[in-house]
Amino acid sequence: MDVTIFLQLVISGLLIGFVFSLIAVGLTLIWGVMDILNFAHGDFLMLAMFSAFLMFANLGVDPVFSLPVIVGLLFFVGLLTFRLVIKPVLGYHALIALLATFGLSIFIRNVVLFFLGPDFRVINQSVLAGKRISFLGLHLSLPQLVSAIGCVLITYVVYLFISKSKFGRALRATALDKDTALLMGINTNRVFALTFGLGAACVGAAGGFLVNFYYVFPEVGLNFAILSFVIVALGGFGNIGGAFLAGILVGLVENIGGFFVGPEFKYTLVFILYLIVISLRPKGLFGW
Amino acid sequence: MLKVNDISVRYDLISVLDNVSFLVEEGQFVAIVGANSAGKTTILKTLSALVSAFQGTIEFFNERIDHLPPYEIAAKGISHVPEGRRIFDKLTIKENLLVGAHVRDDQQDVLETLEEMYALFPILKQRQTQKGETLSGGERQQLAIARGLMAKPRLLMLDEPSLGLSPILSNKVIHTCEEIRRKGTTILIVEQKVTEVLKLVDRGYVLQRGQIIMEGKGEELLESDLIRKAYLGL
Ligand SMILES: Nc1ncnc2c1ncn2[C@@H]1O[C@H](COP(=O)(O)OP(=O)(O)OP(=O)(O)O)[C@@H](O)[C@H]1O
Ligand SMILES: [Mg+2]
Repeated sequence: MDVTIFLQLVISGLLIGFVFSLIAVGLTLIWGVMDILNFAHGDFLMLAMFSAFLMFANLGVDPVFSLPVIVGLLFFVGLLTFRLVIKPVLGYHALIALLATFGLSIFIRNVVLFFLGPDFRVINQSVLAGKRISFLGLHLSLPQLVSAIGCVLITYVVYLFISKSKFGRALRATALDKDTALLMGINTNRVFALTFGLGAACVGAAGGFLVNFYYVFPEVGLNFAILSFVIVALGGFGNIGGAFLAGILVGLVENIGGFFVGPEFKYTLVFILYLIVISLRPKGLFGW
Repeated sequence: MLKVNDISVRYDLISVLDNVSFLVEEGQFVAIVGANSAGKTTILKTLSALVSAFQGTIEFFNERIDHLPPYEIAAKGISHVPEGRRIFDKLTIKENLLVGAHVRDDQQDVLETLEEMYALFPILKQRQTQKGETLSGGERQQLAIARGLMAKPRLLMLDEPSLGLSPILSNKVIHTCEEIRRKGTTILIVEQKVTEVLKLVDRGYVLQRGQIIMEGKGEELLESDLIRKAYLGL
């Protein structure tokens, strides 16, 4: 087979994989600290994309420039979710928090459906739209390239923040042993709130990039959410580095596998990979 | 500095602490001794607000602290070294120590305390970049105490620091406490190793089934019939 085609597939896989990674990092962060799987994660993505779309359609703000606003907005959505949905059920069975986020997911989707309708929307006149870079017979769409680079950078910054800063240390301590963290003077509820904010900001950034080349509709988050659950499990629950690598892996499998086996099977391949890995290593590829 | 008045604690209606009162003066080394299940850990947890008392008051430097959340109590200068060490296994030893200093703002000062801890416990310096989980039981206890001291506490509370250590090692840990006290930190310790501890402390309280049944100077308690019979088997 043609090397160029293969390279093209690898590149496409990497480009979307980096976006998957950032989405999954947001999810795994929340899981790692609170043991809560946020079922509304995909809807956060959708909210971010719709916010960018509305800012573009109504105010003419290019998604490249609305990105910081979207990230801030989603951070706030995360904080609010913790305060209103998670905090009231903390201390009860973990299943309750999970079901609460499930309810939140349905709520967000239906509110958006009610006000904005089910239509697909695209931003096709942004600064980046339609541009591509070509070299050696390979084609890179500029929106995808910018998104991938942006997502990698943000993932790296989040990683540094968690592993080097004082807050990151407090966050990891809280994740390991909440009671002892409290004894160390850490306000663990504040850590929880900020973690939720941070996780939502990650998926917000991913949405803000994604909107440059992906259509927007109320259910857009579903596929991404399911993929990010798979990525989080593959990477080892709560493991940021693992989520990063697993996201890339899923991007590659989806693209390369989809090409050889047929695009209608690309998710099947991802889930087969998932089943194989989980049966061999229940804690994921990089879980401890 | 610490004044505990008549606190009572129940777990699911079962009384665990019953009108417990005691005092810790600044600069003192105070022990609460008692057998398994006497309620020693519960006392410290109540002081740290991990458990709430349904009656009684706790004053620290003449200020009520019994309605504060745990992290604010830590910020007031009460360091609690919990039972079983509770090291953060996946954090490095240095990170464990730095988390202990969470309540402090001046990072330069914190680094100075870090060096002091390394001087007091050289093994921690050697192993600083390794994960907490790699430490042995005795080393964990040293780390737990050092982590508690990183906050520069006004009161250090230790929950059975000798638990699970060989007699030699547990003696060493208890003597380290004495050294820390000499450097000016007030200490409240709860222990089962009655003899070793009572020899060193200024004041001791004997806890039995949730009640303080005796108090006095450490040496005095050791001489008492009750301690000799019940705890030393003499
Ligand atoms: N969370 C809890 N729920 C119910 N009962 C508890 C709880 N924690 C402790 N208890 C009970 O309270 C009593 C006192 O426990 P505590 O841990 O304070 O004793 P201790 O003196 O520290 O004992 P040890 O020397 O074994 O550590 C015990 O009977 C224990 O079973
Ligand atoms: Mg105990």
